[in-house]
Amino acid sequence: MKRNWYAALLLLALGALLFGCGKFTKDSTDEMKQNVRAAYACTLRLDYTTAAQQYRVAAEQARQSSALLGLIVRRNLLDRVNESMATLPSYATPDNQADLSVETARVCAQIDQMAQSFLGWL
Amino acid sequence: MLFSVFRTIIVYLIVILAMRLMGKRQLGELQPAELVTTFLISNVASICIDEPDLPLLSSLAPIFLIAILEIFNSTLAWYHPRYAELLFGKPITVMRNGTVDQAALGRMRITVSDLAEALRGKDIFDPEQVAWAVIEPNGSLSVAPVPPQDQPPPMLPLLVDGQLYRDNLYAMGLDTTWLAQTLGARDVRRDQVLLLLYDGEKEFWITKKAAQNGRPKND
Repeated sequence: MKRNWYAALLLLALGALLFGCGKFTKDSTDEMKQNVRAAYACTLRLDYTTAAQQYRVAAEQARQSSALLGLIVRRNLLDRVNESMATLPSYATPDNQADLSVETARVCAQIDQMAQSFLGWL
Repeated sequence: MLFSVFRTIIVYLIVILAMRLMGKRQLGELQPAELVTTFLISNVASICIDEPDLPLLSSLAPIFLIAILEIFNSTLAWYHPRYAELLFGKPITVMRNGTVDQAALGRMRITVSDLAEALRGKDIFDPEQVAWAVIEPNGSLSVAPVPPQDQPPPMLPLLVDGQLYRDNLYAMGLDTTWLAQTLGARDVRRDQVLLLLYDGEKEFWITKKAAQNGRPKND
């Protein structure tokens, strides 16, 4: 019956791994959304240079966490978020405020979908 | 492409690990529940290799989870014979003393030609040579041939893990009263009997399940 102990240990390890992955996914996606919203807030203060810079930082951070997120969430959701985030700095100009607003909302929704793909129950 | 090569290697190693964890029981003739487990594992593993879009974890976690459930399930079946019967089914007698039990064959939707084929697979061409034939829960046929004249008849199970093989009891011209008296004479309860075989003359007993250390369990 040693096998039962191995199974119990494995179950614990699996539970811990899934919990860790869930926490990582939630933390990463929350951070991505926070970065995007902070960058958008800069545009509302008409500080487009800082906004573009912050969008770039957000895109880079998202790209870095993709290495691990790729093991946890669907690859196409992750790619979509990265593609959308890469376009945001280019919209951070006074002429594109309306588009930026739409694109920021789109990225936030895509990040939510990505989190949902791991954290959703059914 | 490299992606799928690495994935295949990882999934291959994980599936071997999972099958090894489930033990040799999984590699022999499969019971229905074990067959389901094996199918599920192979399907989940192939999905991960086929669809690079899916995260590796979404395949590896279910593989381990299925292996863990299988281990716990078979342990539960080991401790609770009634649950084991529900899970794995029960052997069904299809022939006794050369006579085919057609009702039993009908219940299992097995044709006589299937039975004849299985018998031929065991080098039995004359039904009269069969003392007892059962379809095991894994679908295979087990046959006790009629012994030569100077040999005793085959030992048939009457009690296995507390479970009564009523048809064998009745086929020997015995009944539950005889069984109760025999158990009473030995001061043994039915649920204590791990195995009782009988050939109509000689009895073979194993009473009480051994604990993990091999010693009999206390009452």
